[in-house]
Amino acid sequence: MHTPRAADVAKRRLSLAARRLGTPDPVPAISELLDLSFDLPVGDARYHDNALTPGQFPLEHSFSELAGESLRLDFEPCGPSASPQSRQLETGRQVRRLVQQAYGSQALHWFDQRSEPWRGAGTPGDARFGAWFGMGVDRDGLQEVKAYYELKRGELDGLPPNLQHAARIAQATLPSLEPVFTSVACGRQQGAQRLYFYNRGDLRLMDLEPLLHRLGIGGQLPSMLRSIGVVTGGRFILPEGSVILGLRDTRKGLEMKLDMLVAGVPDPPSQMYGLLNLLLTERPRSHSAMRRVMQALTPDEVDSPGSISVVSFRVRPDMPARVSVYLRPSGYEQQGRSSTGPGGRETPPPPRSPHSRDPFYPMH
Amino acid sequence: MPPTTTCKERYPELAANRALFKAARWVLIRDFDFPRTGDGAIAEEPVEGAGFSIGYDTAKGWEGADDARQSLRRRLRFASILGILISRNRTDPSYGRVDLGSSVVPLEQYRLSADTGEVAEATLRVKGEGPGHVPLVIASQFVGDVADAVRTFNQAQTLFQNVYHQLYLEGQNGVGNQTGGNPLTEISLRRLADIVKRLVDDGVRDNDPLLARQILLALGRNISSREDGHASAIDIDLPDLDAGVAVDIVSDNVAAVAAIYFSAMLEEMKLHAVAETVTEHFMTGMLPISRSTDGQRIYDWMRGARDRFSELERRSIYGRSLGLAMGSVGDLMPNREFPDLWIRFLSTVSLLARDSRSTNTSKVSVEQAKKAARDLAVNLSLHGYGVTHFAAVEMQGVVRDVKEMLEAPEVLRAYGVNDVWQLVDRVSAMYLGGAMNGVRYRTMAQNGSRIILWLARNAPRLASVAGPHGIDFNTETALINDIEGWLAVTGTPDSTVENYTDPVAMNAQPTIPNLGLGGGLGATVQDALNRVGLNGLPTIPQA
Repeated sequence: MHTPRAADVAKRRLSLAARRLGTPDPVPAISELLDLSFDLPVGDARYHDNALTPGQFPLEHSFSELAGESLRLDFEPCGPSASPQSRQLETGRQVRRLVQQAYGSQALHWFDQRSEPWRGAGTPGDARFGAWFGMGVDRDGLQEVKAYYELKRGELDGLPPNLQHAARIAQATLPSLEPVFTSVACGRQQGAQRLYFYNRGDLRLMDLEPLLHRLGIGGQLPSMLRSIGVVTGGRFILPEGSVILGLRDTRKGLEMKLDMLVAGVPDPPSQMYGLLNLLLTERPRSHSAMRRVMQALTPDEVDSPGSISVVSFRVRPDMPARVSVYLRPSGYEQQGRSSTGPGGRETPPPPRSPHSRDPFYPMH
Repeated sequence: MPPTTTCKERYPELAANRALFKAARWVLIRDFDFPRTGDGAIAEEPVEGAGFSIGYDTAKGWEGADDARQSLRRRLRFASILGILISRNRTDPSYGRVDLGSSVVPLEQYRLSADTGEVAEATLRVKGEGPGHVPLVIASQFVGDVADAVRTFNQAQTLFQNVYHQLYLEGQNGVGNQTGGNPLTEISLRRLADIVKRLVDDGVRDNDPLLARQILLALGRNISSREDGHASAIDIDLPDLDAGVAVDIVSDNVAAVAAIYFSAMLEEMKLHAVAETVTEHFMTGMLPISRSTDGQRIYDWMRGARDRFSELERRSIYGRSLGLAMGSVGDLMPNREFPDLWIRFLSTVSLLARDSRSTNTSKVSVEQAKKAARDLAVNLSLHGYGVTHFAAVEMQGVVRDVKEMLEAPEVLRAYGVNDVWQLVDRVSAMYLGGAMNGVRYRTMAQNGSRIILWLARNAPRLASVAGPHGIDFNTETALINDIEGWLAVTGTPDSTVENYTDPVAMNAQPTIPNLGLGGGLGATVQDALNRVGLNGLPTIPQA
């Protein structure tokens, strides 16, 4: 039986989802990159060796309350055998091309300034993955294009001054934070750079209070605690390997994003999707958007868009907690191989390593 | 002092092109009626003992029907053909083959007796560097190269004579006069061919009343081009693929990328940006430099800006040659394979060298190392076409000029530093958003470019698919040191080195640029299909 290339499957899935959501098809814009990244047959075990979704196919879809009904995806480019530098350079090239085409020269100039440290030959020899690529499209076209760049250990020098300052405050307040990677995103109106930290050790959510206060977003702690509490079923201590913290400097002040890696949480609620629905019922527009996105991402042959890999909570001075959900999409397993175990029970996915985003955990 | 009419002639390229000399001589004897023995014969050895010499006398000139004149003209013909071949970089008569493949002419097959005027095997062996002799192998393509060179010479025979005459006069250095012997004149055969080609290209005829001036003008241009031969004299013509040969490497292309790499690393170190900043400070009167050669250098640099590549152009070339994500966004041929091929080659050779000093079983083989080297060399050769060579020539000049400008004592004093690298650090930190790791980038520039030059030098041997004959990586200590230095300075751990030693099958390994089909076509076709709704998507079930 012929096993299709993963790139072809991804293109077909993306085109289908775009049509269901009523957005332009993103495939022509990233066709070359998809071919380059997913040239192996679908289900090939070599895909599992990646840093974005270790042990899984290296592509994630996501829903963000702030992005509405848009089709968003992130993936590790260039395939499993590429070097980190190769990924950095290719991501830079593709993002620059899309930014120039969609947003023009000024946006490109901004992106070039922010991404310069990662577009040359400066990749350290001990880099693990190099870069990831991300984009989102909505009904008006390209909503956002994003490059995630791996940081050198302890490196803050390539970041803009405000973000460096915020990072130093964060590390002084929570010494367990270590910079892992940064994202440089260009949207229609503005660009934004976010710095991500890995949290070494368990994180008591109340320990975030002094950090939030020092960043000027202390007032949003209750909403964040409430949202996390609902989604995790009342868990307020997140173990090591389950938290990535992100900081971003916006015009309205600093934004903090807490990524909860579901695989790192012991005994996550089995009804997490239901709990997310419950959380969003108080915001009907977001609720409806999430359902639409999930439906659009569900292939015909299965009844689920995939499994939840990350749930994110974002707060800003003017905005209480807002949710994003990242999905490990279904449909990329090897065809012909049953996904159900003995007795008809679904085989659980291999556990995601709690160290998956630990910058210093060996990949191989 | 008037020029001497008879000098001892020396040809600097001959010592390094011994195989070429012997092979060309043999082809000319076999196919072009050059005598093997006797007065008109060409010496067997290029430089040793009674080595090759034309024996020109400016007082007697070239004309005359006597045997001596005819022999003289034949030797000039031979020397000119050598110059043409060297100028075209056809210096390896075997085309990388050490085996006797189907398209290779093993000389032994042409061994005939001296009675018939044919060539004996004993004269057709070339000394190898190791003990004994290695047989001289001539690819059939080389025979064609020689024939082509003969044709070129025949079309401009008188020009060759005149140019040789002028080079003979210009090359005299008077050393012999001081020691009582004949003075010495040094004549570059490559330059001889380059100058004639330039004159032909410029439409200069051999009866031009200003011919001597034209020759001197061409000579001046040749010298001022700052390289061994004018850039335009090196042909970039697509290689003919021999039977059974899957890859081809143009060593000039690879060497050009070495200079691009060197410049790119220094650009990342902000050397160029520092030069611009210093020039700005000079312009605004911030530097305490007045009338001096140091000031003149900065002024010349500033005024020459319009003749140099702009930063955007330079960065586009880095993207095209080395895959760096900079420069023009719409580039159709970025070298996206380079980073992977580079780290694979370095890792494989590094591990091979380490294994050779270990008693453990080797993790990589010589064949793997050669494949990694060949893949990288083919890639660099492909991305060295077009403007790359010319850009490389300019960029090496720019780096030299910048370094000279910045290491001028007055400039260093103005910024309170002791050398050019301290200056780069200081200006970068104060005006350019932070200093880079200078040691890292300097090492990358030097070691990296030397590694690429090694590939260029060994291009013929790497292009051979016959096996790793002739390359013993374990004895290439300079290469290994450069590789280890590069890996060390980039902080590459052993685990990473081991990860990149497995050979990778290349789906496609193009050796020439893909004309006009660079990536845009697929998207265009897809877009067209999308517009008409023929993209093959299944029907969406209505909810």
